[in-house]
Amino acid sequence: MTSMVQPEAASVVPDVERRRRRPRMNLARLADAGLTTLLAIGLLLLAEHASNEEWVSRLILPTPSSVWDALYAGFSEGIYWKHIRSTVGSTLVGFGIAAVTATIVGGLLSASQRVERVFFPFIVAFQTLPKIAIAPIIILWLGFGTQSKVVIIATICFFPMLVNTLQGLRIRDRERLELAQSLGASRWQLFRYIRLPDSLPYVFAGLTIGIVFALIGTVIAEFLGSKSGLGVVLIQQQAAFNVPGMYAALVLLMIVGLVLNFVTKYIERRVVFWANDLTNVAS
Amino acid sequence: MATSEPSGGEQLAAGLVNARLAVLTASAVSKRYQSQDGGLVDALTASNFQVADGEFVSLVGPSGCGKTTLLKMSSGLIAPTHGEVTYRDTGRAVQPGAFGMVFQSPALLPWRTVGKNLLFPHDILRLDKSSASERIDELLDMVNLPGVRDRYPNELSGGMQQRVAIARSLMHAPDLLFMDEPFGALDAITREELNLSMQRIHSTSGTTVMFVTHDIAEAVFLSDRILVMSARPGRVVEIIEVDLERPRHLDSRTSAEFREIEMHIRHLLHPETVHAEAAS
Repeated sequence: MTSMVQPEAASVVPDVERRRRRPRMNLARLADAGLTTLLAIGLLLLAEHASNEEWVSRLILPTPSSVWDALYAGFSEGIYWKHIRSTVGSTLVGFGIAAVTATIVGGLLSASQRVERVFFPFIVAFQTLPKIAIAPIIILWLGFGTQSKVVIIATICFFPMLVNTLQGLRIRDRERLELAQSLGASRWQLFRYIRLPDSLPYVFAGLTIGIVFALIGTVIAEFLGSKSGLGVVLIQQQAAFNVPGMYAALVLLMIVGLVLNFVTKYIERRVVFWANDLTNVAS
Repeated sequence: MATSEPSGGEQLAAGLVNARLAVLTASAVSKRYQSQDGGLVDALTASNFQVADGEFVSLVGPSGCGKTTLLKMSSGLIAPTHGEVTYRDTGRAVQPGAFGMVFQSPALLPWRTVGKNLLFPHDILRLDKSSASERIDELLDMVNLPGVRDRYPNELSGGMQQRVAIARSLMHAPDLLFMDEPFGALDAITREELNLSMQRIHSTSGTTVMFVTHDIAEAVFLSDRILVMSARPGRVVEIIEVDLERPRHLDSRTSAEFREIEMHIRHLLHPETVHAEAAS
């Protein structure tokens, strides 16, 4: 008996070790990051020069330094914080409402294949409609204000998240299903122990898309009529012909987007660390 | 080696035990599917056999001969069109939870550690988990994977994952184990290791095993009896008793008796090809 144990045991250890080793890509990655930074600095210097020399009209391309000055002035006068808070706040509230609703609706729709089949055409119809087009009607219903802003945001980011949740809740692994059946799993057990956890990579891919859509929704809602938010700043600066001010608002929106995206990705990695095909899922 | 003709109603498996000890009794089971174009396809024509307590029985045959269909009907996961496979003296199919299942893919839950994966049957069957921890260690030892309890499946190789799947299938101490080409996706060396382990697991646990494979040597190595099947229509053509001494070793496969059984099955599976090759 012992003679047959050894070859098996020998195969166990190296396998585990091999899989735990970190990739040795760090140095190459660092070099790439350096190149990216250099390229960014180079482009900024080029823009500065091009604008100074008026190769390009300053209405189109303000000097990066004037954008920086606008940003500096905006922060030192304290006018940005209110708008950033408003934009981030409504984005998160709208996104949160949509995410919770999408998960619940997705869970309910997927309860039976029949229900999903009956409702799916509606989802497709709404998904094909550019949700931005609904914004004027929502404003007509709810007036200008936070309420309509949040509803617009939620509407815009709801469908991509719903579709991903539905996709995730589908049973993709036939043998897993048969395993559960062989143990006599109930529908609820199948949902709780297999479909729900298995859907998480898809749900998170949906959230990552959703947060981007939510920010788009926020800016549109702010364009259409709002008292505060970075979209409002953008419109005000446009009215004042202040091009550096508009670029400053764009930079702030970009930073907000990056931070929101980073936070979502971070949570995703913590929760669905076990999924090794995250990038494939996101499509 | 003893063989028997399974068809013809009364005749049951070779040299089998009285019916009281039979874990499974298949009487004239058949399965007919409706194909895509509306026609009827006989996946399996009337088959009779029995599986005795503690026995290791393999189903061997070409693809499309209904091996998996027969296995699933035996486990009650799909219903036969005619006939029945009854479990012990219950007069009906084996009930979910009374058997274990191993597939070609490990079908582990990647979000659970190995230990938690082994607890899956307990979760579904709502079993008492107080002694489960010791059982996990015991089974991981049995499948030769000590110390992987807190690892996640994607940290393990394919062969190790399949060992975990085997351990999981035994967690709830099932009376019967159904294995559907469990080593089909593994490389030859890993497969040999797992064949050795499987033999040991079978003798240690004493569980009755029904095993689907299309590897003839694997079937001969592991089995007490082999149901040889043929395709179009799928049917059991012969039941072969493998009376090689146990425990068998990898070397046993080169013995004359082993080869004789292997060749016999090969002839049954594709008579034309074997003869043609021999003639050339």
